[in-house]
Amino acid sequence: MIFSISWKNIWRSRLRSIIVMTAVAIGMIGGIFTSAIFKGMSDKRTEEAIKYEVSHLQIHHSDYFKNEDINYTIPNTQRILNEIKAYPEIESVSNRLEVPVMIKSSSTGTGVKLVGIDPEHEKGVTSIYEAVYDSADVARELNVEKNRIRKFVQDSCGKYFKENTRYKQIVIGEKLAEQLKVDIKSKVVTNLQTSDGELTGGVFRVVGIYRITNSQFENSMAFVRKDDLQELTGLNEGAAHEIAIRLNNDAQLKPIMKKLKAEFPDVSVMSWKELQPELGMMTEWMNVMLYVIMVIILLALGFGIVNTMLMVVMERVKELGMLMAIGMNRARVFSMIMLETILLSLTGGVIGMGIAALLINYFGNAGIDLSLFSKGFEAIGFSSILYPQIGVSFYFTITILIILTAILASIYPALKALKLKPAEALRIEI
Amino acid sequence: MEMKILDIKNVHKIYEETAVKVHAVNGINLQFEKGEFAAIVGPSGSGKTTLLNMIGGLDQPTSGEVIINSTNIGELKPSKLIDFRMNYIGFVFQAYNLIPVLTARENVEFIMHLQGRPKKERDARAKELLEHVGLGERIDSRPSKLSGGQQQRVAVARALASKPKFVLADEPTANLDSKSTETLLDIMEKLNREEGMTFIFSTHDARVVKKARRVINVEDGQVKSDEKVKQ
Repeated sequence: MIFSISWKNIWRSRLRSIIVMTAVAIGMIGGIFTSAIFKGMSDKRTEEAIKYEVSHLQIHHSDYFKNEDINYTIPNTQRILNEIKAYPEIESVSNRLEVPVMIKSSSTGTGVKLVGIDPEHEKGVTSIYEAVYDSADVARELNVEKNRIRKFVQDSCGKYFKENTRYKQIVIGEKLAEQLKVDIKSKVVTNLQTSDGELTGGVFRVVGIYRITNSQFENSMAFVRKDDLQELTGLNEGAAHEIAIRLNNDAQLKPIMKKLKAEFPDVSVMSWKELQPELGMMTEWMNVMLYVIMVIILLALGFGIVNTMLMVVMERVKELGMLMAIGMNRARVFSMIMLETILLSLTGGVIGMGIAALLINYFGNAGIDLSLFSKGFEAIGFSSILYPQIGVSFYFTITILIILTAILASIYPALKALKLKPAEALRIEI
Repeated sequence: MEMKILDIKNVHKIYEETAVKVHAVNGINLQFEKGEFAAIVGPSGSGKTTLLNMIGGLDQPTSGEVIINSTNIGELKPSKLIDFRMNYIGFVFQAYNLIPVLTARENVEFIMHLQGRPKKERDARAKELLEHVGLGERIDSRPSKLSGGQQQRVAVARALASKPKFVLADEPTANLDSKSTETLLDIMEKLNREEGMTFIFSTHDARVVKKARRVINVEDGQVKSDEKVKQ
């Protein structure tokens, strides 16, 4: 019955309650949608980092990160490869050589990391091959006129690595291509140190240009065939600096890592969180920030709610006096006011969460195009199209936070009500 | 056999909130028996409201005792006192003071809900009481849809719902026209006669005084006269 009275009481001052509910709803929509944008950005960045850049796990020589020496290849690469392929949780594995080089075009040069890969195996681990684009496709996408398309088609052979070519192939990032002023078919020269410490060089022809959201990665990572790189560096056949592992499922990261560490104690096994600590930190920090945003919003709303409930108590002095006179005890008066505050806040909150969920659902599919500002975003590895998303658990937590806020906001007004003396309250004329 | 249900022993009430001490109630002794229909009469400032508040356990005497059904209510802890009021005293207020969001039936049920009575009993008693006060047709109306007289009749039904020892009515007719006043008084008289319910009014209203079977005159915090009237 107290519940029913509290609920009905809310609608006594309909306009005022609707205003409070609207405030709570707007606060929730703003807070949750903002959180979803941040979360979407962070998740997308993580997803892309795993997909294109780091994969889930990597194995290196135990000293590799101290000094990325060309001779720190993983001991017993083949044995490790064979063993981890047997894990059912592991989707695919690729081994790579990684050598820092100077890369030069006819116009300029820069330092990059040359990654020697086995193109077919690499496909199972990272998706750079999907990000390699053909100028002709781009032209079509951009709706360029037909003649120019033809020209593009003639010019471009932008593909992932091809079989049986006489020349050495290289796939570079779009940013690097711009910097070096090279295009598909252009030749680039790389200078590097061999395993014996000698300087050597190799000529590669650009066969593909990839475009991902992380322009820093585009700028610094160039892919070549592992065989070509091995030949240049003079490393043994089958040597690898890095084994990249892609899992079936993100959730298996921790248990698998534990297993691998136990099984291969001589090598370093690292997860993407350790390999890109800023990414791991961002994900965790983001989760904290989302709640910080919500708590700040709720705090502000809380004061508004306190104010409203004080008005409610003041308006009902006489009624409260009557209730206490006829036998409503302090606990019941307190809980009635608290319940009324919770119902008021939660109604607004649920409406807000509902609208926020619809918005997130819509924009989560359609995306929010920020290409106007995208240069800045891509420079730090974020996609220019935002897909807001937020987990169901977030809504549960928010619901609990709203209830907590309402409880806190109701304490002062409820205490005010309890201080009333029924004999006096009954005589007050409002 | 007559039973003493309310015994007021040498009650004083002194207010010291202002610089001047106010002796609002100055040594009142009164006894009420079951089935009385009594009016406490007196001008404003006579102390009758203070007296009524102390009888109702809404205020504590500075000295003296208020004994209801052999319990000295001055000795009850505040939380016990609330429960005591709920179970032993029915209140009717000048301004009706119904819960505006509840229907007549729910208003009457409310106190039984506080008492923890089962739903079935609450329903039956609320219906019966509202029929007693002549509102059998309006049990699902909210107070705002009822006239002042009808609201006050709901208030009487509510006061009786908890099965109290007596009903304390503070100027119950002050806001009513003469026709409503008459109806209300007739109903209360009938409840008094048929159910043996004790009513104690505070009032200015000559119409109430006329119906009362005992009239207590209070002036300057003291009982000036206390007369039983034969009807």
